[in-house]
Amino acid sequence: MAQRRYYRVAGHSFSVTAEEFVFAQMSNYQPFETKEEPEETIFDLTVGDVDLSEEKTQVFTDTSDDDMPRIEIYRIGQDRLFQVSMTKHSEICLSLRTSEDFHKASLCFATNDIRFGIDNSCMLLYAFSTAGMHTLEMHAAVIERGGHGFLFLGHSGTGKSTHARMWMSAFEDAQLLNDDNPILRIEENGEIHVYGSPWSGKTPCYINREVPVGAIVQLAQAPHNKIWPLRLPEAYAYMLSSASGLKIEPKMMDALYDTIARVIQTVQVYKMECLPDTDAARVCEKNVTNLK
Amino acid sequence: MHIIKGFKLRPLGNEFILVGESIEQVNFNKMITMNETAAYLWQQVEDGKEFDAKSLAALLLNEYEVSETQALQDADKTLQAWLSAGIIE
Repeated sequence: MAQRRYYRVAGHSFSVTAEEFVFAQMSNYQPFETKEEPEETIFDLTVGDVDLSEEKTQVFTDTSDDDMPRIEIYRIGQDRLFQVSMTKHSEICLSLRTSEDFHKASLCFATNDIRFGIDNSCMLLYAFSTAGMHTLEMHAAVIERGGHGFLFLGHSGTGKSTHARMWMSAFEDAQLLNDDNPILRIEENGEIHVYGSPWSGKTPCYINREVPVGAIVQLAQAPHNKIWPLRLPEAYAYMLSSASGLKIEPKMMDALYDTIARVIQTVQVYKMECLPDTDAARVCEKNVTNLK
Repeated sequence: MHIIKGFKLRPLGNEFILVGESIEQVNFNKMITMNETAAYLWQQVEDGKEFDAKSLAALLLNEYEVSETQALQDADKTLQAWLSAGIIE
């Protein structure tokens, strides 16, 4: 028997309706589950069948990153259809059909990896449905220390997780808040907060907590440790490439611009060239905890 | 000359940035910064109309207190910068 469960991530509620064997694979969502039905949800996802009988029109194929899942985007009438493969050249393993506004969604898998299907669908729906709500789903690792969150950005393989681990080695009171996909939000008082999420890459770190952002650091590998504050255009470029969104939707890009522009005028963004060592964490910490 | 489709001019602090953020420019991974004058010129031609250094200079003369020679020089510089950035053709 299918049942509906509610989750709340960074203050936004959503629901998943599925059979028990699906929920059994969703332990990463448990810290975010809410027992009461929320007043409103950003999306309602039903796992089971997807009606693919109608004619679909291809809109776009995202082939930006070789080691990332490939996403093909279609229209079925007013609805959208997302078909995802594990890697650039593999077979389609999930089909996600959503309403125009991403609110109603249904999902079916052609894979045994239920977790992959659920996580990718929820992350996509979450990013797209909250874009207009001063919310950014980031690709970053986050360290929490002294009541602040420090975000580390960079391409896959740059060493975000490694740098985060260096902070934990260098500072006893540094904790990992999320290793891959934290949520950033502009709060009503104008503060920028970072939240843990059920999505954390390969590291099981699903913490339901928020802290104000201390700084954001774009990492690059180098044979030295060097850090400097970025001007707004560079900060914007790095933030934009680290935030999830649908580039082909002008309204969503307007929303992302609006949020990112406010974030980078509130929080300092830095560039750091670094080695994978604890000295990098010390150099970084010394600079980013000084100002603002 | 005319602009290549798919770029969006956005204000940022006291500058402007031009970002390729539409389906046409999905693989455009650069971002161009513009000062107020360049941004003004871009706004005048972003509907796709044809232009050259001369017509850009005329636009500058309409908006700013500059000599004709200076306007033509600035317009030409801007046009060359846009060409090498790959945002006009």
